[in-house]
Amino acid sequence: MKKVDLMSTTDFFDLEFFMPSHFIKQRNQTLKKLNPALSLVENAMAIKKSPSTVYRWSISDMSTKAQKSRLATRGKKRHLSPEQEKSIFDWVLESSQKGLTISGKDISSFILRLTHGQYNPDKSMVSRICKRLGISSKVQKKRQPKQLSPQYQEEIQEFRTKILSLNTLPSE
Amino acid sequence: MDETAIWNYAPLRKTYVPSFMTGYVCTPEQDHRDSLVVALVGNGRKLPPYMIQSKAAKYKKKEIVEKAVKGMNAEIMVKWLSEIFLPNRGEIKYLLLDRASSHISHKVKLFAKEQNIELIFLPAKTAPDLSPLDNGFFAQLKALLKGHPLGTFQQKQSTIELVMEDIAPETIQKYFVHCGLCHVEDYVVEDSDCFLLSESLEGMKLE
Repeated sequence: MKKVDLMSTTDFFDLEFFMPSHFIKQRNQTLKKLNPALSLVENAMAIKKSPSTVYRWSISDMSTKAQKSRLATRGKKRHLSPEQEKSIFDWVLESSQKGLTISGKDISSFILRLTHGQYNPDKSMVSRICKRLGISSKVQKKRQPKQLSPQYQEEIQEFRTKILSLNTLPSE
Repeated sequence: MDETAIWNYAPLRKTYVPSFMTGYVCTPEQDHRDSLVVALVGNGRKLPPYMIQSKAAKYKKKEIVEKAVKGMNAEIMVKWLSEIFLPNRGEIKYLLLDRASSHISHKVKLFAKEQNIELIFLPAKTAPDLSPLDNGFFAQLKALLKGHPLGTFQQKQSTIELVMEDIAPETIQKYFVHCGLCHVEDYVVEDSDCFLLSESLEGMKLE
């Protein structure tokens, strides 16, 4: 699987979440390794896969494009389009940069607004979406205070000497 | 003199963020935040604490009856000067303040001139380095407040008065020395400091 810089959101969505091509690539590469002189079981032993899997792979004559589309239609039907899911990710990223707290309920209400009241997602749907988009729940941290630039140090020193020259105890 | 926010007890919450990021807290203005005004003197004395209760604005037929109070403003500052500062002034000759909008307002400057209070403002953006309150006092106070009930305004008021008594004058002097606003000679050396010094000297001899 190719490594992607996760800090840039555009690359993050080039990963083809919905059609895992890395899986098809792996399948095609292993099929090339098969030795016709050996039996099916021996071949399966060599590539450390079950014989039934190797048999299923060997009889499939589908093109890569067809395999991709087949994988995309597998599993539970997705209610949201990739663009909608991207907008959820962007919203979470934007609000976390602002320092706002986002709960699961906030995400579900955002989806409700996004789909114009069509879907009111429950906990499991939110968790599935979060898992797919790489969003996780974390305990918040406090931000460190900013450090002053060195140009202020002279000003600070001048102020200290001014206060000390007053010859009385200060009050703050 | 400075003010700080005293929140109702609110632990850090969980938030959803992209996996490669850390969720940080921001402090939006909320109704359950009150302000505390504290003033310290270089000899270790502290003026009585003054609490400001935050209030939402009141409306009657879409017209404001009462203004919202979200913290310190010029009117409250003048009130603090007249009610807390002047009766407890004693030996204080001048007052250090940061450049908050409420401190540098015309009303406050006029009142200070009338009452012969000399105001000295810290240079801009230098409060974290020069203010003894920001440089340790508030951190110590908030650490001591942990575990105490802070649900209501009255609870906050009573616990802060109790906790403030625990902070010794020597520690307040330390904060002034740390900020460079007091000579080291003015600082009264504690017995515990002497013990630590002698211990370190013994260690040096052995080496």
